[in-house]
Amino acid sequence: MNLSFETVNGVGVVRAHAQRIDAAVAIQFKDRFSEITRTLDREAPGLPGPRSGRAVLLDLTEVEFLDSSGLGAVVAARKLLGAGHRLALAGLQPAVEKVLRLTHMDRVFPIYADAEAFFSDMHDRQRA
Amino acid sequence: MTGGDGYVMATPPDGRAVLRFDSGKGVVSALLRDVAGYLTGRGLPHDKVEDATIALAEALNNIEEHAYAGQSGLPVLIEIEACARRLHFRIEDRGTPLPGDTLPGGSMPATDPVALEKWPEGGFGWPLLRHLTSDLSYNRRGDWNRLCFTIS
Repeated sequence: MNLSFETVNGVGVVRAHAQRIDAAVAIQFKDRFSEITRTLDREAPGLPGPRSGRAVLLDLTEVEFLDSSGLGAVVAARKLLGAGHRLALAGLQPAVEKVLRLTHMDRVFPIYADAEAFFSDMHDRQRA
Repeated sequence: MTGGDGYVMATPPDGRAVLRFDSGKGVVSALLRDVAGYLTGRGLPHDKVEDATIALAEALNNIEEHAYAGQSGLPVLIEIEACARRLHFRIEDRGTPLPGDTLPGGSMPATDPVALEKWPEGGFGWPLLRHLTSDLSYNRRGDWNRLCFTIS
């Protein structure tokens, strides 16, 4: 499970370089995300401001398929980040969006069409 | 006949698709791709192919994780039959029966946005299956579990 990590404008961006996040790779996803969270506080302190929290983007643009195990892994990742961070999702393909919607998890994750939309929103919040 | 390492897929002239794979060999992803290709080739609309793939993924994951409790090399049989505009799926395994020999109840787990520590990491599979399918049924036939559903 190839998850890359970089900081952009002080915000952590995790990209899933995989077509599927499913039962076969759910554990690897969680393990890899856990490694990333350990570097997060060092490299991506987040945006300044009292209510901005620390936003991390999980870019799922390459992911074509997510089953309930994959969703569980994303939720586990969200919990690994802890309440001091927010985890936003971007680039949901239709089948992935469908699973998020049917499970109502689209109501608890901020969801952006793409990474650009996320950065634009972060920029607006910073200026507000 | 087609298939990959560890599974076989046949599409006899009567329009069915019949698949067999052995559990625990990591073939489900490839099998789902091939089923999606087969359904697309039969003219099923894209969103229905998605529904079928998600439903089948949930059913097969349940078999590998629960019916077969992670054991490998045990048989799973799938039959897909098109009838008018409905797709009938039949999935059979020789694993542990469902508790009470019946489909689990329960609705989609609820998530409280505020209570992060309580966000559900599981329990989505059966509610997803029920939502995406109609005529979901389960019975025992000898040593076999049989799960059937329709996508239409």
